[in-house]
Amino acid sequence: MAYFADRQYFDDPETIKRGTEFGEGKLILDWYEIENDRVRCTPSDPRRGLTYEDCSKGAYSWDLLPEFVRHNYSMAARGSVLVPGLPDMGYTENRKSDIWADNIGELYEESKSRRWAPAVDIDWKALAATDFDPAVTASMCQLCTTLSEVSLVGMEFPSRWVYLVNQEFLELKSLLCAQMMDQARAVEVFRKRALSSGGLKRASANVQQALKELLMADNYIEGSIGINLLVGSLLLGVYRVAATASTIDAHLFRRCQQDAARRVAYGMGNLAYHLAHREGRQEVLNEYLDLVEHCFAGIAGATEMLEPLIVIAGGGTEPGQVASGRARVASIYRVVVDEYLGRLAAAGLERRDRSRLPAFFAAA
Amino acid sequence: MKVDFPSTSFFEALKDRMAQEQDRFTKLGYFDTTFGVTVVGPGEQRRNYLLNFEVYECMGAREIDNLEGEDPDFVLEADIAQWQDMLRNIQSNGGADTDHGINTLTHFGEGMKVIYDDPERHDKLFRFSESIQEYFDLAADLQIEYAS
Repeated sequence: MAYFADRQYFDDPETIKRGTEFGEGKLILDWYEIENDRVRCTPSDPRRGLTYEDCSKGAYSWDLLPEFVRHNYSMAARGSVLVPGLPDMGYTENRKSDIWADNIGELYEESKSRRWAPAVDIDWKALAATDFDPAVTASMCQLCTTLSEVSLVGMEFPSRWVYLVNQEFLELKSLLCAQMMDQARAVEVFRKRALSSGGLKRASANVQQALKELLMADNYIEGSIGINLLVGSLLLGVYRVAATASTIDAHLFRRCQQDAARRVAYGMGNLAYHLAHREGRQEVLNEYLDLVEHCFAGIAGATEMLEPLIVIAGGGTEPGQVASGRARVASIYRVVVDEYLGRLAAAGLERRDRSRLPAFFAAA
Repeated sequence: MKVDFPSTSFFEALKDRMAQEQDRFTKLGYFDTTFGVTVVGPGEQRRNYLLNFEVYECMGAREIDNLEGEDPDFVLEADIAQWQDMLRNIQSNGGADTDHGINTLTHFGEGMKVIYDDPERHDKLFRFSESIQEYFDLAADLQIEYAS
């Protein structure tokens, strides 16, 4: 054990005294008279139920979150009355502009509402009855092996940071947990898609090296841009190609696309909030992306990602199919790069004339 | 009852079908977007429709002269032959096959364009992609009269 509570409750005189009094029916009720902001939150739209936004009222509002959280490092619920003796949890993410986004509440509610279950929401029986070209089947197995690696990192990024985020940002902590659940579902569905069609293929060193570089970002905002925007944008393109394999795959990958798009939306919101509240950060983040954007090429160009996409997009490995698949994947990669840079620009980080990605993919 | 395509009555018929299929759309989750549909006819004549979705429902479908003033999240634009081909495919299969889904039509080839100004709002096409496809798939059992 690394931490010990400030008293041993079995032997604590106060705890023993209270226990005895409770046994005699004596209640203290000192919490009952606590003066705190009184609210009565109700659903603004009965179809949605009571949302976090409905509860962002009065002293409980996220609008009151300060830029620097200095008053609460404990696990006390935001807005509750703080008392002496609360433990310092050691949170390191205490600055709002590093982690916040204005769409957090919306995305959290949306992620719960649009949840799905691969076990029952995908028609596995119909998939088994679908007549695939053997090369497409093998390619889907390889692609899903690679996507499992990408999804694991998508799960690990929020899990790496969620504990370190101050409890005052409870809606963000909730969203990070929802992202973990989204990515756990991605890990599940890609594994099931591969194992329903022959099994897993080969791990990718290039993909994993690139993902590790992004995952290990020194700070939250850089990691958020790398994982949520850079990798998220790529996934939105990869899923578009994979969805063309069959009608069942269309359902499967559209749902994956939805989950990835929420990550991208948070990444954009996070970057936009950061830049709107912090002067001089554009150059710092541009320099970071100068360093790490090669990871996009490492993942997108890895044999274990690129070749299965080409075979799926072309429908097989005959020369004409490969040519068609290559053209489709090259086109979607260019679109993905354009969309990624457009998202950065919309969030306040213009680097369309600086990024090496357009030239790299134009040559592909 | 037959509905013409393109027409407001066509999109209103989809809206009614969506209400009848509320359980299906509730299971898919919140569906919060307003997007445009542009059907380009002969001589570049455009017919524009604005579709508004909220929570689990289609709140409105109306024809308008110009989508720009309406500020939709994104616009799906294709010529009338492409829309008709998509709808015929949906009717033959009970839903779009992979070549005729919005995903394929918008991202491969020149079949359908996605027009947008704001990348964040454009991404609602992805955030609600299953609901959007299922909405168009509701055309499967409509009696559609296609404009020539």
